Amino acid sequence: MSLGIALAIGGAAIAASACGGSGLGVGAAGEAAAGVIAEDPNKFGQTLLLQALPGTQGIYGLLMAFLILAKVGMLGGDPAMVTTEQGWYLLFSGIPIGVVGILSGYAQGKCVASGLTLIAKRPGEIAKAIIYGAMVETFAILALLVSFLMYNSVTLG
Amino acid sequence: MAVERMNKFFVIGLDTSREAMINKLMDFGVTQLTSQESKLADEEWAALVKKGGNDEDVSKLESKISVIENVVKTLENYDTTKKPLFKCREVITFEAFEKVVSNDVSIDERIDKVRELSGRLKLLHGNKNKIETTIAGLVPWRTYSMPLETTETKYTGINLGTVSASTTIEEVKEAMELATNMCEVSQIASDDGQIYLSVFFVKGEEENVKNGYKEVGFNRIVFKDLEGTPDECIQRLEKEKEEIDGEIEKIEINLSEMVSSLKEMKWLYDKLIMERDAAKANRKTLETKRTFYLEGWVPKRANEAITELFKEYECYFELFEPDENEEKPILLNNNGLVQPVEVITELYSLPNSKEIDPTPIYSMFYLGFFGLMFGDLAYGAILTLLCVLMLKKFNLEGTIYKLIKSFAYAGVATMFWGLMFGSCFGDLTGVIGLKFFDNPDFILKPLWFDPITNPIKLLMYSCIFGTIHIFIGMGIKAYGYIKEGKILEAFNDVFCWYFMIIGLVLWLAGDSYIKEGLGIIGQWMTIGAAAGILILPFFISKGIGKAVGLWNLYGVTGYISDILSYSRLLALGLATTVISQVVNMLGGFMSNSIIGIVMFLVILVIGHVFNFAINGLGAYVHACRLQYVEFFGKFYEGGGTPFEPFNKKTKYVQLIKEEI
Repeated sequence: MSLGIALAIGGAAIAASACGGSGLGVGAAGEAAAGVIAEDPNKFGQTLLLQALPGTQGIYGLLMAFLILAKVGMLGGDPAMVTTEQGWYLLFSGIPIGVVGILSGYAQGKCVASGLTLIAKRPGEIAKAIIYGAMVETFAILALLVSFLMYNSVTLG
Repeated sequence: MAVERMNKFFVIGLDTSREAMINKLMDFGVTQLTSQESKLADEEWAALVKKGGNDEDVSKLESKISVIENVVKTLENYDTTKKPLFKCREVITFEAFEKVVSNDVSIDERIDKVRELSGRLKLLHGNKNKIETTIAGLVPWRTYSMPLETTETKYTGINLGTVSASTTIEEVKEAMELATNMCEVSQIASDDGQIYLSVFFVKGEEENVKNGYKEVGFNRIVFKDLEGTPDECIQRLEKEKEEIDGEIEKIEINLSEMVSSLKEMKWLYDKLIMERDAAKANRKTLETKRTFYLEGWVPKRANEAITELFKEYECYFELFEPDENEEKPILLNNNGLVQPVEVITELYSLPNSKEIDPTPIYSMFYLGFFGLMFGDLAYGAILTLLCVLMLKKFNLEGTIYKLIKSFAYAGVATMFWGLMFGSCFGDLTGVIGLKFFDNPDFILKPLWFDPITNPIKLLMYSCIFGTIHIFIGMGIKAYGYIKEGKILEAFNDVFCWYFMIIGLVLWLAGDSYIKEGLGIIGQWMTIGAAAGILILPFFISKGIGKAVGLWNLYGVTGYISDILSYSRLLALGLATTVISQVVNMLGGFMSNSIIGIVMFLVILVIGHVFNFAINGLGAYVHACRLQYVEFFGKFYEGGGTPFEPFNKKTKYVQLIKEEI
């Protein structure tokens, strides 16, 4: 095991922490959803849909973590040769989605929670509530893209 | 195509045919009647006519409807049959419907019975609650052996009560001793919050005892309407409760027997809904002694049918085109692939009466983007299959029908992109080939290219698709300008930007990516466009507005961020594929034994179901967003009011004419 691999695993760890943001976001949305359901249990499907939205940041983080781990061979049990520089590269490539995932996951959760109070009163407007949530998610997608492009530029020899 | 052309009509007929005609119009379901309140405010009209119908009829029907609604709700709680995934209307013929609902006396009887039963049920539950609280209050006193109604004897008074558990019985006794020595305090029971006490005192000491109470914070408790010792009372109440429980059970059995009438009640509900709507429509007529007047909207397509109807009832009528500036009700009318995508427009906002329907223009983009982001042959096939099954199994209508149908089409687009990128459950075929057959050639070859090995290429194409999408949106805006004769505005807002964006791309990337020499062309295009954007406002605006070009130029950042926003096509497409690959890889780690293969399958099923759900949702949401924010943002205003035809708004049945 080299320092390079250790650094790469650090990158995967940072990327995977985006799940924390999703956890907070889905939690905040779930609290609001339960309130809506108390009034009208028939809205379960709609509320679940909205609650799932902030979950994507976690998925993106997971995705980057898996990609990094796979690249350095930590999933197959056959570690690759990783130089220290390459390790740093991969570590940095985990940062965008990790950091942005936490923040945007939480922010999207709050946004969706407000959207849930919207559909409590106007069930027909769910599309708008979803779009508000999707506006926040854009930035997580951009971060994922940057993370991926950074990751993709590293070729292990 | 697109937005249905609407005509207005007014009709004057004989009072004798009014009811029949209103029913016939409801049957047709193609007209939207307009309220005539404004005419009544006009003195000339008001002198001649008054409002038809009366509110009493409507409210009578409404109260009856709400009664049935409650009864149906009550009975549905006892309905043990499995609830379907979607609430669908049952398709029946009008004759069958009439046969059942014409017997409304017997249905009414049953409705009354359910009301009575549920009323009693409520009462019994209330009584049970009361008994339960009384019992809960009595339980601590169980060991007290005097009858509760005995509050005094010849020479003594008896008080029951509690003190807070923060004091001790000794302290209470001491304090009471100080107040008077003519009393006896004893503890009956205690719990976390309170100590339960009985106090016996010699009559005549009431004042002193009361002072003692104040000292120790004694709350007197008086049991009303209870006789015998607490233990006896509890036993008696438990028995009463059992009796009530028995009765509740009986009523519930009775109610579940009534469930068999649920269908008839629902049908009667629908009948009353139709009657109420007819009565409401009647309120929209104006009447003289022998004639009535009615006004409304009708799609131009239905002109002939409606003409025939009016002629049949020997009415005087006129059909005419509305004023150009009048707000018209909006009805979208598309066919084929475009029709289900209307739902995406409807979810945003209908076009206003001056706009065109954008659905036919963007529907291909919507389906294409959805497919690109979901991009997997197997996922697409599953999505289409699921939707087709749902459409077959349920009698879906309206929004939900369109939504499911649009997903069926989106599934086809997903299959298309899955083939282009060579993804079927990610790289499952390759994994299976390698794992079970030791053959690495089972890979599904992409028809175009594999975005995982060449993401930059897909990023580029995403932005190109996005640019085309945005350009079309801007083109619609230009079309609007030109139609109004504002050629300069069209150049300023749209065409200059076309040059600007294309020029910028060529300038920055033309030389190195496309062809040597394009860079310089792009440079001049950009400069020319920028000059246009700066100068044109001088001809368009007045005063300070002339300098607005400088600010407009700043809009270039907006266009760039819009185009970059389409990079989500790549990111979400990658997410789908990479997560499937990860799932396959995890499954692939299992050994080739029986248990290993079972585990392999379990991991695959759970992983792919999860991926399907989360990325399907993502693809839908972001395909919508790209329309709403990037595309509609360029030209669309919306805010149209939907066409609401006067038709049978039944909730449970869909009536059709007898068909043989």
